Amino acid sequence: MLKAALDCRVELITYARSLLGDYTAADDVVQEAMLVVTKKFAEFRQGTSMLAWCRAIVRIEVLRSKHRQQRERSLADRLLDDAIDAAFEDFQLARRSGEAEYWREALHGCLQRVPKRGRRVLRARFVDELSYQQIGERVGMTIEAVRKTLFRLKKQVRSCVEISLRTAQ
Amino acid sequence: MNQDSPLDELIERHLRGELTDPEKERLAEWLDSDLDARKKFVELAQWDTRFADALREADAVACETGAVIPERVMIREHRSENAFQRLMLAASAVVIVVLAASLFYQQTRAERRIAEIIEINQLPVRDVFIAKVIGLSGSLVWTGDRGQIEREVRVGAKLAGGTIEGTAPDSWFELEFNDGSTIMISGNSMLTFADHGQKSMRLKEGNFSANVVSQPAGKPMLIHTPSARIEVLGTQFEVEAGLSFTTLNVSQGRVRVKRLSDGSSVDVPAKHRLVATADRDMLPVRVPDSVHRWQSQLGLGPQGTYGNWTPATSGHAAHLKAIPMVPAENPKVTLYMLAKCVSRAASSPVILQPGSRFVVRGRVSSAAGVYFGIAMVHPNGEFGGKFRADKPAADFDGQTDFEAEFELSEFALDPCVRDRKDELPDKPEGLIVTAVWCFTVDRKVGATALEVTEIELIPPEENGARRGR
Repeated sequence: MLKAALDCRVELITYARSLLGDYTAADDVVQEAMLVVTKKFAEFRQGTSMLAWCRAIVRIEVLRSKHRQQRERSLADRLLDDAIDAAFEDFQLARRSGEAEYWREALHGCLQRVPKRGRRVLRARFVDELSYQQIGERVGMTIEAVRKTLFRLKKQVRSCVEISLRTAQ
Repeated sequence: MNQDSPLDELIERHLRGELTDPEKERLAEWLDSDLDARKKFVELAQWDTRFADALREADAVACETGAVIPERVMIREHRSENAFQRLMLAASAVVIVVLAASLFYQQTRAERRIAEIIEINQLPVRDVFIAKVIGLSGSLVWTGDRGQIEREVRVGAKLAGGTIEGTAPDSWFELEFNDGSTIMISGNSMLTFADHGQKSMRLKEGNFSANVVSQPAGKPMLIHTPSARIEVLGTQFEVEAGLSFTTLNVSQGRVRVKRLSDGSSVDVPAKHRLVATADRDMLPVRVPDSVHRWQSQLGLGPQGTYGNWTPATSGHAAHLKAIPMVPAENPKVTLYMLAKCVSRAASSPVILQPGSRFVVRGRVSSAAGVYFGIAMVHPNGEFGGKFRADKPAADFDGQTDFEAEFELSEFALDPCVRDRKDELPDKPEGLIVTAVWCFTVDRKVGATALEVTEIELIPPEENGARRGR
């Protein structure tokens, strides 16, 4: 069962990140949530959704993290959190067993094909979480050029992954 | 097209914590109102995380092999401690699965974590409270800032921001902010409130009134409804919000309303009202004179009703059937309740005169006592109490249609507001009726079915004529 919970890791980080707006904080929260999952192991009801159960635990950890950081939650924050919660409840599905590994391999393969400059832009946005302006300063591009480059690269990698997955099937 | 759509861009920036509050509100409204947007949000967020995950993983490998590019060293220096902790945690997670001894350790740690979570969720909010509950009755649910759900809110409780939901027609809730401004919701309503130097509220549906002291310059109280935004500097007013309309009644001062559909705005002066909908001019009109007689007119539709409404058929008049409700204060009984709004924000205020009476026509399936309640406000919008008159089961045989009269002199303060009897009027005369409700009490679910075809308020000058018919 613990493996089933760990298989949801990316989905749980996605959820936590949507509420926290920060990948690193989301990763930390999911690590904490996994500890709670190990403890509450026996409370999981077979036949119900593991992802939904873990998400509820992550939700508590997210609130705790916000409280710890003494982040003031404005009305806009609350409304958006509620809307995001509803969206995940409606549309987030767990991936089938083994699917995550296919995804991972396909994504790595497709990222390898991105030219070096493009990878620098992607890294700056996805790993270092820099703003468009900061990325522009780093790689010597205008904000608009950064925006367009990111759009183009994401689209390219995404269709590459989809083709790879279709081929693998 | 070579760049993200506005929704894609909002989502992308939200995932990096780059949105301003107005942009967050825009995204929330988008997600609330559009199923496709919700689906897209989840899809884009998943892709974004997979990208980030794969790139980070590739980077970690590059780091281990010494292939990390120099510009990233600077950033890593700032994050090295955090990254080390995360690596350690990741290692611990693997060990949990593999080693039983480690599992024991992790469980002990998890116990501490759960204890912390419980502790946090039970923390008193006095250090961060923004308002105090000064009155309430009926069924209410409060969802706090940290997601905790509380069904037993008490007078005097100090609250941080959150959402209060009135779940029955007789629900009523009054809150006083730290600066003395008061707000009230009544009936089936849902209000989210916050105060971070500027009071901000969202009335998703229902009725809301407020008495607002002068607000700091440039920081008016904001009330968002599905169709309008209201700015208040200091005044008394009432709001009724539905999916496509917002009605505002201003008692004192001046309130600015902005219609969301086209951004047009207008100032509403004292003793005026405005209905903000997409298909009407934004024109404040003077609050109409009060009236003393009223009829439920259930044949016109289910608007403003609580219960199961059925239209007229060839053999039966339109009617409202009571629905079960379990009161929070006494979960052992089931009330079968129906209700109808009387003085809605868009209609003339209905004032009770001494000597008036209510007539209720309907049917109960078996002999049962019928309870009739009225909710009142003062002409300035302040809460005026809830009153009730009861008829014994002997008056209702359950075989034939009934017509029950409730003289104003029969009404007494509703038990749920008796703890405030010193500050509430002891009789409802001279006050505005906002809603009426009717219920039976059932200890065996489904034993009595209450249906009402008409409720009528008859002023004293018509009493003789009516009774003589």
